[in-house]
Amino acid sequence: MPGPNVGDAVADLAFLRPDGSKVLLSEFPGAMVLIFLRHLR
Amino acid sequence: MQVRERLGEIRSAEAGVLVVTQSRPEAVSAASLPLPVVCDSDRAAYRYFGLDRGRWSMFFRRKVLAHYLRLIFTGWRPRPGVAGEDLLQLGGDFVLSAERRLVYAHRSNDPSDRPAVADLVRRVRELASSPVGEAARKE
Repeated sequence: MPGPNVGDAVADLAFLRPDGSKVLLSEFPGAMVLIFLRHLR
Repeated sequence: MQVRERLGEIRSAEAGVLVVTQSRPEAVSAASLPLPVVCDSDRAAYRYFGLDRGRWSMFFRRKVLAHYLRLIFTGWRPRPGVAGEDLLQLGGDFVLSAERRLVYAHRSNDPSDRPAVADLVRRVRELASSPVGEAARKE
């Protein structure tokens, strides 16, 4: 499960907002820090 | 990781923060987090970014035990996992350019393995001052 490397283009992934609606990564403009949590604290 | 305390520095470099959780939307809406959060309940994005599942033995490593002890001293309390969460799922931190290229990746090896927030801020600043980052801001 290697994942993308630095320099690679990242796919436009789909997520769910807390209200249950679908959102794409591309809907968040600009550079970003993307933080994957292990769990909600 | 106290990203929220340095959110201003990240935003001053014209970058945003997006938090991804494996929790279901109903759990997130109840938690009322101070950062934008999206849900990846089937963990497809976790897999896409190469984030592994750990082993139960990772919780008994000295540095992981120390990590949880520090959390407990700050008021955190262990709790049963939220329904649907994989307790062995590991996290990670990434910086993406405006063109959606990966410019920094940190995939956690255990629950205590996170980059310093200062490193993330530095990466974002480097990106903002790079020719690519400046061009993106002019658009």
